[in-house]
Amino acid sequence: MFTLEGVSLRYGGVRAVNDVSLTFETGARVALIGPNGAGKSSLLSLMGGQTRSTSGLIRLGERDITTLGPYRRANLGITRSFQITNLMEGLTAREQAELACMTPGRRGWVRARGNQDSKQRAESLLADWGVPERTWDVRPESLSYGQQRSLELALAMARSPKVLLLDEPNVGLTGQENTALVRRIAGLDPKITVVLVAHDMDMVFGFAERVIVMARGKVAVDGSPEEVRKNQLVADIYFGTGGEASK
Amino acid sequence: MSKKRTTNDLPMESSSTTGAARTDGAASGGSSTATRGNPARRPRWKQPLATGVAAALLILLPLLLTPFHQDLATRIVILALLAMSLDLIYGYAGMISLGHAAFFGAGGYTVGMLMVDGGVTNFWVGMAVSVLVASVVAAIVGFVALRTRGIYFILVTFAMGQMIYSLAQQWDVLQTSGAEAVVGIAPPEVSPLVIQWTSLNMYYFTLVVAGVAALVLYLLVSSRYGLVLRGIRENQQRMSALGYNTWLYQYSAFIAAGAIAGVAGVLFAYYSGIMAPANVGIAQSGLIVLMIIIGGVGRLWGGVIGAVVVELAGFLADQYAPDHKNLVLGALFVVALVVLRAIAITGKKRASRRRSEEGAHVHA
Repeated sequence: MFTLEGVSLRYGGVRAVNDVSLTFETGARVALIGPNGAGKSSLLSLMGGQTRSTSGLIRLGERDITTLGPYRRANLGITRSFQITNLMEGLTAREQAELACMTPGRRGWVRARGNQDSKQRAESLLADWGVPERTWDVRPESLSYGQQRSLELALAMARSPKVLLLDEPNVGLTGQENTALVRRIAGLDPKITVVLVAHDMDMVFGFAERVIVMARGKVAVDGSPEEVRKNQLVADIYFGTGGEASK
Repeated sequence: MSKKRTTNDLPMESSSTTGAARTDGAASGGSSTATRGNPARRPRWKQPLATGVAAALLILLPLLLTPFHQDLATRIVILALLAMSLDLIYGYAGMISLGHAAFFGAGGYTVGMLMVDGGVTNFWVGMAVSVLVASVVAAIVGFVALRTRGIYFILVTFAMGQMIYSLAQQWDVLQTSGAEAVVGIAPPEVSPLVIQWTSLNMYYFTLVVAGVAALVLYLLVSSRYGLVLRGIRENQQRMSALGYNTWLYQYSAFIAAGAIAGVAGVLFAYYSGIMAPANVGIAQSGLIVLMIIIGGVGRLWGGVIGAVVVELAGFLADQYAPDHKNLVLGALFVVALVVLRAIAITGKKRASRRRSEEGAHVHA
């Protein structure tokens, strides 16, 4: 269970995330939607630890992780992908996979013990996630966009996370790649909590059991896909009349 | 095309499609594509051969030189080690330091003062204490500098390097010799060996110690530790999202580089017999950066090539235009930055064009 209690994020006078309280059950499939600037990515960064909240509590299970940095959270099993493909440009897919497969200890430091087989694990990770073998030893820039997204997802999944945060994983994908991605996400271990930020409604309604609509840093609507689809407020926010809807 | 592409990007139904993707790869000659695109897959004999030739040159060449030129060779070996130590943090961990000579100076000053003021002539003691001091200085500088990034990191290392430089200039109050430089440093006693300190023997002694230090650097960069550093250089945010304490890795690399620079400083003190503030300041730090830019960033032997080029240029300038040495080195710096940068960019373009052709091949 992943819990946010009254979490806020302020940049100067702007409240990017404003007093958000949410609970994600283990294994939940949640989509986070909302207009640009609604605070979706900010919320994801607060959950992943890339940004520290200005107030509120964040818990994983019973554990308070509010002040833990990103690497500590990653080692607790909270992992994420980034909105813009965020790979390590100068490293081959194989090297990146190996980095993702090595397990840093509590201090975020890799020890030799327990990591001897990271090379083999990296290869099976790449194979499992459909990164073609002939691209393993080239740099990511020569991979297709879809392959890069596959690789990025593979990196996030390398250490069997408990919570997977995906920031617009389907942006820029072709129709086929998108279908493949949706299927792949649907096929994830049901014990993994998945929170996905998306603009594409087909993806959202194809995947989510629960949809959270954000507007102006707050949770506007939180419910099943059916409820959200029927919600007039959502239609208003989403299709451009956000200003009025949130009044 | 679309059919194959589907195969590649759709292997989500795990086993069956993964198998398909693999067969697919083999069918279109994937392995040869990978070989061309990847520097790590060069023929295996090339690297040992190059290492062997370089080692033979380093060992045999000085036998043909006059003592005067053997001294130059010793100096080049020391500066090559110094440049390699900077490359650990610049080329591998992606941190540009403009204060690296401070650790070189910390090592050299410490061993010099131990000997001149403290009477410690033993090599092992002198080296151990000096490297420790250089590491501590690096730990302090790194702790402050790593609170910043990018241009601010460069400026903080520069400023702290200059602080240590001015400390070196005012050091005379603490010293018995009363000069701002430590003079009268003699070659050490390397018990249990008894070494006749000719120029040639100084060269070999330097080569062995620098070789051991370079081996340590090599082991660091070719290990998992080095891979993590390169990952951080490429994408720190991603690495921390993968669970790596990027600060700890960068900090430890900074200290390790400082320690190795300290080794170079000790060797330099033994070799030249004098440690002066000029060895500590920004000019020296800048020259080390120049060396690794000339020789190639992110590969240890680049530091060796850079040290050879810069030191030879300095030497020749000393010989033929002693009044204009800095002008020559400055010009070299500008040429290096402009021309090598241009080559680097066009080379990259060529490589990426090649890669995109391969990419097309891959997707075809």
